[in-house]
Amino acid sequence: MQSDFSGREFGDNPLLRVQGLAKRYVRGGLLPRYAPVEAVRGVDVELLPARTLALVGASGSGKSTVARCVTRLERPDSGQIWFEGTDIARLSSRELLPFRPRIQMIFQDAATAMNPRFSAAEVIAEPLLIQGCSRPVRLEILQALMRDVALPSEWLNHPVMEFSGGQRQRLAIARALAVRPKLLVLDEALSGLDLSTQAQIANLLLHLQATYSLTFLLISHDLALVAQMADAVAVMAAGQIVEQGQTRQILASPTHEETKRLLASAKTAELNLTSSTVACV
Amino acid sequence: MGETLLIIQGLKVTYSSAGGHAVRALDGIGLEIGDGEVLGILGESGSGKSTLACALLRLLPPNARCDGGEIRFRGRNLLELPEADLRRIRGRELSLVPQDPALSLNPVMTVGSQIAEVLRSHAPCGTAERCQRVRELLAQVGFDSPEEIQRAYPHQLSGGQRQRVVIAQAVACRPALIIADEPTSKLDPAVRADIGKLLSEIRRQYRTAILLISHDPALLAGYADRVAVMYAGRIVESGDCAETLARPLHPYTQGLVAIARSMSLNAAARARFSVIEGDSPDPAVVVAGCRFEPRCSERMEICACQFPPEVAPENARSVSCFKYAE
Amino acid sequence: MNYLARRLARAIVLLIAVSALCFLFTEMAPGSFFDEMRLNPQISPETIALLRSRYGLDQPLIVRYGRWLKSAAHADFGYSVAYNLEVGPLLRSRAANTLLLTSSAMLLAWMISVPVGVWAAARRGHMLDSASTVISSLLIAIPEVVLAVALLAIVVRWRLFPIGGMKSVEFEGLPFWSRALDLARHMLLPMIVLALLDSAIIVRHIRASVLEVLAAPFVQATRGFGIAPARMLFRHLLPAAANPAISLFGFSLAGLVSGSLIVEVICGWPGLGPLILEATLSHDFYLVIGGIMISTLFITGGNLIADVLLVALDPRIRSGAPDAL
Repeated sequence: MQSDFSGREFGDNPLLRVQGLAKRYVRGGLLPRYAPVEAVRGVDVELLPARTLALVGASGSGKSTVARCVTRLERPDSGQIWFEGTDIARLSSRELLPFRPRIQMIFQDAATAMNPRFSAAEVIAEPLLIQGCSRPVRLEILQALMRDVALPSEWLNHPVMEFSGGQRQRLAIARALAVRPKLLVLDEALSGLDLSTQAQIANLLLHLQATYSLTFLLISHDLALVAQMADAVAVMAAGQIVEQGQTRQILASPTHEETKRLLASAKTAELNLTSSTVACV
Repeated sequence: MGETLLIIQGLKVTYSSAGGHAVRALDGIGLEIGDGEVLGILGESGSGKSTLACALLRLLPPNARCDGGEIRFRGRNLLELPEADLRRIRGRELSLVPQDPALSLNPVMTVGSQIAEVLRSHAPCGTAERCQRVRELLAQVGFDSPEEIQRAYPHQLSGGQRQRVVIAQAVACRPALIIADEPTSKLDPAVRADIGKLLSEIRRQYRTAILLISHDPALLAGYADRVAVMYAGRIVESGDCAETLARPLHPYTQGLVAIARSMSLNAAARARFSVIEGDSPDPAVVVAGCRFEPRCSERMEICACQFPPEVAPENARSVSCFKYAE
Repeated sequence: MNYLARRLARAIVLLIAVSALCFLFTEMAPGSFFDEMRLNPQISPETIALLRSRYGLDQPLIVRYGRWLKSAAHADFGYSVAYNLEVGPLLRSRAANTLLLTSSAMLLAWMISVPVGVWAAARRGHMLDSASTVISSLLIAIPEVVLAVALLAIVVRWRLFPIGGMKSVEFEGLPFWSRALDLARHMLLPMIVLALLDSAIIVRHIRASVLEVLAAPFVQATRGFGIAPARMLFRHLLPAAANPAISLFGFSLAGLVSGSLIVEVICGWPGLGPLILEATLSHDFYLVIGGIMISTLFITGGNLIADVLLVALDPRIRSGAPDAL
């Protein structure tokens, strides 16, 4: 089902276009009865530049797999991934090299996404080292990046161990920004964080998006977050997109069962909070 | 609501790290839970809520010390009980539902046998009877085919299913109090409501009291009778849950509730979320005054010098903030 | 079942490949059994040629290999030139001696290591833990030869028990229990050396895996339900810590036949070790091949058993879970 993005200006080409993406994970031995196997079966999405597309769905719906295919951490079994006009789905590692800086990913658990003994500077500078920047240029860039993510630049030499969860997520964002990406894939980047940290990081991301015209592919199961951060949303279930379109529209009048289900639980939580007299069970 | 089940007074817990510095995780906690009541603890990481959960069952790691206060459970001070007596209470009268269901179950034992182990320790009976009881428990926590689940291993279940299994372990011996440490934070939002409903159901059926710890005001709003807000090892506000969340008194609570409300499905696109400025406090640093002061938009001079005394500006509500101290 | 069949097939292919390589290397090695005989002027070249053709050593390599494979399928492994006996029975009797020694040593090693390893992990930082770490490090660092000779010297010095050989001279005339005692006394030294060396490694692995399990969150959760400590240890902790131990057990099995060569030679135990050593030095072709094949058989068998045990005992590996070891 093709999406219709009203608000698309004439000549506004999508930054990312996924067509017929499919990926299957083969398990050896006895197939377990209960474990969900993430597979993607024929996914079509489009992402306009400087916009945010959210992929929502329950665990096991395939959203993380789509994210990993888009960043080419995995190789899709079939389909095309058009990024700025080139199909990167089948490229070899060597051919992918020029694309790597342009597509970056932020993971869910920042604590495990970076070496705790590295200093903040080493973590953020890693991608710069690969690009071969000279030392003084690097230092300047590092300080600018720390300012971008609202961390004091004096902390550049502190080991990652000393940073809190939210601060580490900021470091991960700084690391991703170091190579000036066009597309940032946020794979449940805000899940597992405290409420106040979520709010801070979400605001930071929105600010950075405005400043650097970043495009976001937001993977999340939190609809409230999606409602505010995403322009368009695609709902996934069992490896397929069951509904997609403008966020406002989908949330106001969902058509598919899965969307209604996700919306219902999000609404219940909100209702609990906003009603002034709660009927306690 | 019956008699008071648990009274904590002035509880202090300190961790000593390898470097030699002591970190005060709990700095004088006091709270009460009555029979069959659900008390919510609203707090974020670093507030000491998990330390509180572990301290109640005396499950703290060896480098932690309880250096003050008492925990009176059904009249007995848990901090002074010998280990053997404590073991009899754990699982039987007081249970813990730990935070991450993926890590709380033994990976090489079937789910059924893990529930059976709890029964075995406290309610000895024949094997067949035990098996039956396990199946009953699995049905009670919402599994449609208990026989199949009984034989499954943890890695074969989803996150929500694992959490149900842990809850089954916790209620196996009909304890008087269940401590639920962030029971839903690692789960999908869709599954969260189910677990919340399950806990309510258990409370209703068995008249079990629940200490519900969470950083999510929405969860507490739905299921807690009263709430106590924790910040940096202390309780800064407590009172009736609906009242506290509808009209919070302490600036920290106000901030949290504002954030939760700003994450609304009806908010405008690209609208900024409400935030509490600054970072959570470093527990290793000792300050004389209110620990929220650096981040407080309403701070006064006195806030940095002394810790605000607890006052009760309204009926059945208390807050530790100089705004109300007069 | 599928898994087992595949592993068995691979094991058989491995055995055949090893036998082929053996033939190749033994052939490539300089010299032959008859070199000494050639130097003896009393033996004519014709006699030597006759002997060679009798043992089939004048045939090309491929033919010899083909014949050997065919007869090996019938459990006939050729003839030993030096002993003038069939290889099969010769190996069997010596292998039995070796197995007696190594299985007793393995039993002793595991009986010591498991309790020590578990206790060291449970009482981490305690004196026992530090002591076991230091001692095991020493034992791993000391070469087998040195340890064997050192203990041998002590035993000889203080005449603790008989050394060398397996049985005393008057063995046959003794009643049953005396015979068993005699055997045991002869076996004591090599058994202790082997057991000490194996224990050092096993203790460290067991300690490490128990420590890892003790730090797992589910341990705290289970303690929270009031399970008694003894039951916690045996029913909950040890099964979760078993994987590395099972692999090690497989390696122990694998090394039953091939791991004791040096100790047997030094202590004079009449096992497979001295036999293969002798055979190699004197180019006793088929005996060498036979000896290597029996070692390989045990190695592949031991590894196979370890793999099967892992699949059978760890539910995560059985169902291909993503976080299994």
